[in-house]
Amino acid sequence: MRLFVSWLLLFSSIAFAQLPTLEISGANFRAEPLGFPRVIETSPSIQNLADELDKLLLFDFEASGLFRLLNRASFLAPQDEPANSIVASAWLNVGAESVIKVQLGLNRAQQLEAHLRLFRSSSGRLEFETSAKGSLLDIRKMGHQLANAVYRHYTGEEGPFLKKIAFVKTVGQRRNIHLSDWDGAHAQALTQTSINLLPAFSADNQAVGFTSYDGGHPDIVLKKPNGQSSTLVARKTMATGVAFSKNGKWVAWAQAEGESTQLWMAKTNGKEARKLTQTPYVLNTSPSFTPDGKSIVFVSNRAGGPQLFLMELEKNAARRLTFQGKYNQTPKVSPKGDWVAFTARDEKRRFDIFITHLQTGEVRRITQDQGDNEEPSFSPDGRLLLFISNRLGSNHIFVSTLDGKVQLPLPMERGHFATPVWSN
Amino acid sequence: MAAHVNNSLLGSPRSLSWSFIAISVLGHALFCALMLGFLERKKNPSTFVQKPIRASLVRLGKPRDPSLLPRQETPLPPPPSTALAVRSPAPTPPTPPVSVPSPQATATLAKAALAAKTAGPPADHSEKLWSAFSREGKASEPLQGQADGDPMGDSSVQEGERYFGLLSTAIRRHYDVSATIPENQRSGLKATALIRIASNGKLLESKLTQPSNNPLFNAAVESAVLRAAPFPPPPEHLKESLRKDGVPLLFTPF
Repeated sequence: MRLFVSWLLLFSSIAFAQLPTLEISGANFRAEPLGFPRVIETSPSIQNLADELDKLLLFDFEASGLFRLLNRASFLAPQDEPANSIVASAWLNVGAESVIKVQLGLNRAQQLEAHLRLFRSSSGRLEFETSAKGSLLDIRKMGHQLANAVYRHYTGEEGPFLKKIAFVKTVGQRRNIHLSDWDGAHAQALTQTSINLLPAFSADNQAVGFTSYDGGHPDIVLKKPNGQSSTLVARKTMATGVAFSKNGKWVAWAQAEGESTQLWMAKTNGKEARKLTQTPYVLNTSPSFTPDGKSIVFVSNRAGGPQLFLMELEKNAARRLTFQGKYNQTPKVSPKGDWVAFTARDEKRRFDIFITHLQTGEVRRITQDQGDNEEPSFSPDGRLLLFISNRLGSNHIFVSTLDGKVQLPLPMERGHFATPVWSN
Repeated sequence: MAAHVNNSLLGSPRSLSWSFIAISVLGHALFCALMLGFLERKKNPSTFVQKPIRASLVRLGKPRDPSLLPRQETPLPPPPSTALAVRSPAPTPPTPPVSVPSPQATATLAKAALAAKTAGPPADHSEKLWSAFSREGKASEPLQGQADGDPMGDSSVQEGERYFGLLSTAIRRHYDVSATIPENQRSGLKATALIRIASNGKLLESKLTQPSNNPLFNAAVESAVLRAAPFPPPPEHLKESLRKDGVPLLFTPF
């Protein structure tokens, strides 16, 4: 009987013997080739607005990382191709996998009305359409609304294009906090005093916290766009790097104590303050809450050079997150809680943007061989990063996809910028 | 019944025949099951695949210190076109060193080419162009890999059979998936294709045996295989199996 069973096993192994399955991983997620002809205006009187809408959409689509915009000079579609259909073969021939057409017009109430249609070139059918309305002054908002709708169609997530950003702009000796649209348009100074640094949006986006030297020493101030302000932390000692928890309950900051800097945390009204770190002669800085508000990622030199650490607030226990590189700083936790973006100095002594996975510890590089790149901040959906780069000369704000394949300077006037942050 | 009768072969004819029938039925059932399985495997080979293996071809280069921050691994550029060499006058310029040009390097290269163009048609245009390549090759840093690596390699670690590493490298070079696939759907993507390869490396057959539920991903898988072909000729010990049975490829995004 044993012989019989052995024979059967041998037979079956011969019958099923074949080459092993070869796993092919590491897909190159590439942007979809997009045909995006110029925005069509229905009236010559709004041509300038159509141009502005066109530029805005070009930038939003490209920055999203979803599309590779095809050169308009290569388009083969007939000039009289209607706005509500495409000649599929003409678009396929130029390599477009999808086509977006936008029409801008004025309705009877003299309001702007923009209509966006997304076509699939392979089938020629309309895949998605959306529209936006507004006054003549709302053209940029309408554009971002359209871009957000396309973004949502592809990703299933809310787009970041209607969010605000805050950043520091240096003019002469002054450093002031500015607020703007995500692409740097409509920038307005939030502060107009001496030195104001490290902005962070409150959980409800109604105020911006930052480090202010107005009182002669660095305090943490909370200011609303209407000018209303309050001092959140004033301890007659250096307090910097405010961070807000996403649940709106807590703020954390770093505070100098003799030869050390310790992390503190309090309720958003400044009450119930407690010290999180107790490490003499050690610098603990740059706190960033995880989305659940239960942990903080921060920088500490307790292991020698500055490295990232994760502290569970309930246990008050910190574990080291980064082991590669000798100089890692400015961590920001993704709103999804999976990645932490940070600045690191590599072996060539250049600063670059990296991300590390909170669970696996995997480190990925976002920027490389393009000047110094610092101070990353995640978009609200965690798919894009803002950071500062001097690759064009002065410190400018750049946006990058999380794989680093698309990196664009924000289309704003050149200046000397620092610490850009996205609103929630 | 007497004991001697019980112990004789003729004493229990009933139990003997039942054992024979049972073994026969069992044998037939197993045979049928095996045949069914064999036929099913012929129809859909990926059903019976073992745990998938990874194969990668280590790049020729210097190992990277693990304590250093990672550098972006850029796929090797396609093999240099011979068109330029054909057009250029003799003697044929030497093959430039394989390097991955950085964006700045590309810009410098473009500038060098532009400078050569604006300076008028030089006596040895191709030589200038090659020298620009050489300069860029020297400027770029050494590739990360292993000292005993393969010039065709694209990974910093070697895994598995060399030929499968070559296949994997060739296919991954064309493994372009649309970024419009939402991130939360990417990790669940999985598709299996079966390819059969001729002894000269020609792709004999490619079929998607287990498609994913995402048409964009399926299209990317099919396209990657087709664009990667023809493959390098398989080694002797794999020729027969690759031609007859083929090799199943399990495509995962990460």
